[in-house]
Amino acid sequence: MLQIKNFYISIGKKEILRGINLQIKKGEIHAIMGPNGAGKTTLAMGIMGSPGYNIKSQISNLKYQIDGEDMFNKLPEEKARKGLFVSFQQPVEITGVSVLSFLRTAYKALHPNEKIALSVFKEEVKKALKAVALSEDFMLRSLNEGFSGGEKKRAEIAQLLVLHPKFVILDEIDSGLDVDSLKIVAAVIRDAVKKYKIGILVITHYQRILHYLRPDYVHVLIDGKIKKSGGMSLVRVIEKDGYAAI
Amino acid sequence: MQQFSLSNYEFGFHDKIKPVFSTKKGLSENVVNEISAMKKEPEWMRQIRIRALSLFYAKKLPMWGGDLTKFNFDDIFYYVKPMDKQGRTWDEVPAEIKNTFDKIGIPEAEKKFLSGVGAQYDSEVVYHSISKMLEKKGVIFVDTDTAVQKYPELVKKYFSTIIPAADNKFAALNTAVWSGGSFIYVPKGVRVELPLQAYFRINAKNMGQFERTLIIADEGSYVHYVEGCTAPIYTTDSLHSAVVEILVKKGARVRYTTIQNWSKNVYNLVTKRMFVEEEGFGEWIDANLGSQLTMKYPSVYLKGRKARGEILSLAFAGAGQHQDAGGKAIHLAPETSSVITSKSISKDGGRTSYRGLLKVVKGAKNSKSTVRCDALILDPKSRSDTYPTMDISEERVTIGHEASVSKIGEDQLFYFQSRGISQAQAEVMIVNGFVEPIVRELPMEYAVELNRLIQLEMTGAVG
Amino acid sequence: MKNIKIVVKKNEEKVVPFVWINGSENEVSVDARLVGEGASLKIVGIFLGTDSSSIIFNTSVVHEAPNTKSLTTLRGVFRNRAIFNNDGMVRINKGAKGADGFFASKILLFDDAKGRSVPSLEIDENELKAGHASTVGRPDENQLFYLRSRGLSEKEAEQLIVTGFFEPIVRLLAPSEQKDIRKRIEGNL
Repeated sequence: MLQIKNFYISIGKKEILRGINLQIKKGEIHAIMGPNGAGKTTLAMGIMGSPGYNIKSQISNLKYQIDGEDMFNKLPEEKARKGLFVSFQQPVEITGVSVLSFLRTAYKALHPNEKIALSVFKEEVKKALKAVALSEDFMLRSLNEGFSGGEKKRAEIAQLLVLHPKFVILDEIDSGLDVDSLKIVAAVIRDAVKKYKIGILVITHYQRILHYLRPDYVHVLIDGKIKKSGGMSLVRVIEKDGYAAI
Repeated sequence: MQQFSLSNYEFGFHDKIKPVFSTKKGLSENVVNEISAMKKEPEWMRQIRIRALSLFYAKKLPMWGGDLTKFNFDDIFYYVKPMDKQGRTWDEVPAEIKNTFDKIGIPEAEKKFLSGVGAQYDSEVVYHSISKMLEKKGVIFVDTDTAVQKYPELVKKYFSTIIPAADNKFAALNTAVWSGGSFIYVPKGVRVELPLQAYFRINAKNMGQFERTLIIADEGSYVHYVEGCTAPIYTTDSLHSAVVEILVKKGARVRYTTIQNWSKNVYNLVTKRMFVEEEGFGEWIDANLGSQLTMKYPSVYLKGRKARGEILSLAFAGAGQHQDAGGKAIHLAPETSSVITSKSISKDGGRTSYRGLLKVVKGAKNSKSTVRCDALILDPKSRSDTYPTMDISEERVTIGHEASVSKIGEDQLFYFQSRGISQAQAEVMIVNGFVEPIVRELPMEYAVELNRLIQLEMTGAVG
Repeated sequence: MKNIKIVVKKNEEKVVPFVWINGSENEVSVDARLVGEGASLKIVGIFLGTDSSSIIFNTSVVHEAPNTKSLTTLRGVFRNRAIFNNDGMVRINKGAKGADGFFASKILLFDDAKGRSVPSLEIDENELKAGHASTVGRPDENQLFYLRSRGLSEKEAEQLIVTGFFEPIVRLLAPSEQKDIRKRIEGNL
């Protein structure tokens, strides 16, 4: 279980999130919706521990645990090794480091006791790329370099399929994807959830992807707080009447 | 009154030391004549040396570039006969050098060779089989001393035509005291597919301070020459001043790759130049990792229509090092093009400086050039400079230059960490990725060794 | 020789325009220092040279304090035998963390005009962003082709490109100055 209690997150001195509570169990799909500026990406970056995003630590009742272990002062790589994965809104480009070597190194770091031969690993990567409709060539290309917006998002999902995380946060995976890619990505995610019992937190920009993903829980984030939580019905309310209805 | 006995002097003093046939320290006409005599050179070469010596005395040290003020020209041996260089035992080689060899995976025989311990390296065997193949094609590949004896007409025709002794103080010095280096001649239309490497042909004896290399690629030919290696070269010589002259004739192509990793006490001051004729293509791949101070600006003079030049420069400066490197592209004819790519990294107080010249003369119509310099400074102690000069006298051209200096991006590090990779490991991967566009042009074994060497430098495992 | 000294203090923002249209000054050097945290400087240089006018325009921008920002942007059009010479230095001193220094120059040459540009960087601090970009030459081939494909002659196409050439940096100046400078440029083209 990924558990967050009483999260206050600020960027520099500016407080963005005020008291967020979330509990994501294995195999559950949670969605976060909200208007621009609500703090959705801040939540993803704060959970992973991106520099610049500060979780206020002097709050009482503050909790941040993955599978019962405290994640507070852990480094990002330690969180990743506990099974956390974030698909970023704007994945960074790294010249000269191929997708393959990046994934191989990450896999070794995340699963140190497993030994997979390179040839087998390459097949895994190719399979993952295929699943998100990216050609094999992407394997040897420099990480995210020159990828279109949609390709970057799909490449993030391919990484997820190779690295086998336990808890996944998808930060606006839907912005930059056309309808067909959206359907493919949603299907891949649902499949992974079913097969590996991954816990997912989908942060959405539009609501459309939720119709394909069918989350178990929907939370509406407005002005730094989760104003309301519910099921798919909440999505329909917002679609009809906007965020003002909440 | 003390009796000074001649016999005491002769035996008491000398018998502790082996007779050494080297010139004394310091430079003089005598020294230059001795060098020429020891090599049994023809008179014309001795004359070239003597003339160059007066030019050396006349010229001033450059006021720009690295700090040469501490350097004492009188404190070095200008010529040491080969035999003496072998006085070293394996035990005397510093531990850090031995460690690096192990970590890079250099085989036993090579280790000894590189540290000046072994007398001869198996390269002799390799060299002989390669030279049979080259002979059949009419390719000449010998050391420059041999070329003066065996192919005097060829040498006379081209020696010093590309870099005259008067070019700069160090070119004059080299012309006066040069020894060793390679001489390559490739006949018309001949392509040498196998990269020719310096240490195929020489052994530790000739690892010179003042190498003089001359490469002539006749029309339509191709050759790739590789100099140096990634493993650190341990030497007590403090000055290395080489000259490399290359002539790329019409339609020919020459690629010259250098991987320099001299030990950190060396001043490495080199003049390298290619003349590229019509439709020729000249490439320099220059990786500078070692030495205390390197001043080196490989240049391409694009003399004929449609001539092309490319310079890839990689510099890594650690504690106490200054890499002052770059490239020069001189466009002297129409429709010429050049690309200069420089990547430098400084850490632990090291300093990298890119110094380049892009010059287009009037009449070099429709020429193009792109210069791209990127620098990474890994910590606050280190320094990076960029001094690119563009001198354009022709309007019908397209010239672009871009440079950037930064540290490793936090967002890049974070991305790696978010995937479970530690910061230290991420830094190594990012730095290797940063230099990848240049490393991928190196022959495979060098690329692998270079990546590993960067890894060692990054993790501080090398002293 | 004209020397312009600029000091930008803490949190101060300065925009310094320099317009030279066959001007009488042949040598100008600008020495700028960003001495206080948060200081920000833009140097905008507009150059139009014809016949045998020439100018040596050297800039030096030194970042001495943290979180300082500088942009030196020069654009010039030189014809006949005019000559442009520029040494553009951006220096980031140790301790100037978070500094962001950029130098850009774009020079168009026509006829026998000459241009020399040395955009240098001296960086002593690693928490920074610095860069430069410099181009010298003719108007972009693709732009010329596009305009000609719409019926303009080569000369007309060039003229149009040159007219629009200065616009991106004129926009960086204070609104009150923009109109005046645009007029001066158009008058001289």
